[in-house]
Amino acid sequence: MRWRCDARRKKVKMESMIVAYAIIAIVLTAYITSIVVRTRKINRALEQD
Amino acid sequence: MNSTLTLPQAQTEGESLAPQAAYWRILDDRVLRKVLNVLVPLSFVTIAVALYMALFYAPREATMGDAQRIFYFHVPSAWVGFLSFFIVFVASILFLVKRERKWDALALSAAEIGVVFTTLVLLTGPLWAKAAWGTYWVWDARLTTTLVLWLIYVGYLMLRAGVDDMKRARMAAVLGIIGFLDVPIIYLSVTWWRTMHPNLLVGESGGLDPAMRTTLMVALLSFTLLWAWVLLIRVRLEHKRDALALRRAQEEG
Repeated sequence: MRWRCDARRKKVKMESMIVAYAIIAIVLTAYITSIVVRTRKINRALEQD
Repeated sequence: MNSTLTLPQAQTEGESLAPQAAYWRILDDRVLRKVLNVLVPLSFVTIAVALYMALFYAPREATMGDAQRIFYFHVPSAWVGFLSFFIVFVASILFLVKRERKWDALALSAAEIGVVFTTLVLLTGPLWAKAAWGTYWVWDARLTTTLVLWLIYVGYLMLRAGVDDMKRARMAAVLGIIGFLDVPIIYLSVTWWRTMHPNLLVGESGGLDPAMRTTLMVALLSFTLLWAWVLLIRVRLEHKRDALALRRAQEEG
């Protein structure tokens, strides 16, 4: 019984790590993409003007 | 893009914050492209190395297990957040003294990036806390002061949203300066008060395993490189916004 609890605790800890890393990747990708998209929009407006 | 654009300063309160004297030469498209061609791949390579080291090289911590590996990007996120707010602090002082738009643009850009990275700290920290302490949040000194820091700079961004005039920019600059006072409080909170948050010791007699310390250093470097080019492209965005606003004002005038 104890080894099953330990294995589940280990799995939960690994899941925390994976979720944390995923959050970092998603948030940073989204933010950098937003800067690039906003810059391109302004570049297009500057070219049209 | 004409990077030598110069414009009259906005002198009176409530007047629109007109684009100011030229920003820095590094924001010139050709120069920036060369800088980014080095920084961007370098940052991605170091992030990949840091990720590998965090997952496979650094040993598994005895009590917290794999959840402790969150530390290798949680601490660099905090470091980069504090660095951003330091830039806000310095740029805000320079803006209040010189009244040049470029310092205001730098402060705004750094504040936005600082809020993003501090958000990451506040999201990853509780995930680690749940695994380590059995709870997502405790109102201890470090966590609370970090939340306060985040709220201060979210307030800064809200103040800057919408109308961009000199009065708001100056108010935000003052907030940016005062808000930075929270950063040393956060750093020293684990020594000043009783707190559950671990006190990071990286000296030779400190508590970190050498492999963990090396992994942390690589992760810190990778995030600093990432921060550098993200700040550059964000300030460039402000510069281009100003150029567009100027062109449109000239066409109307």
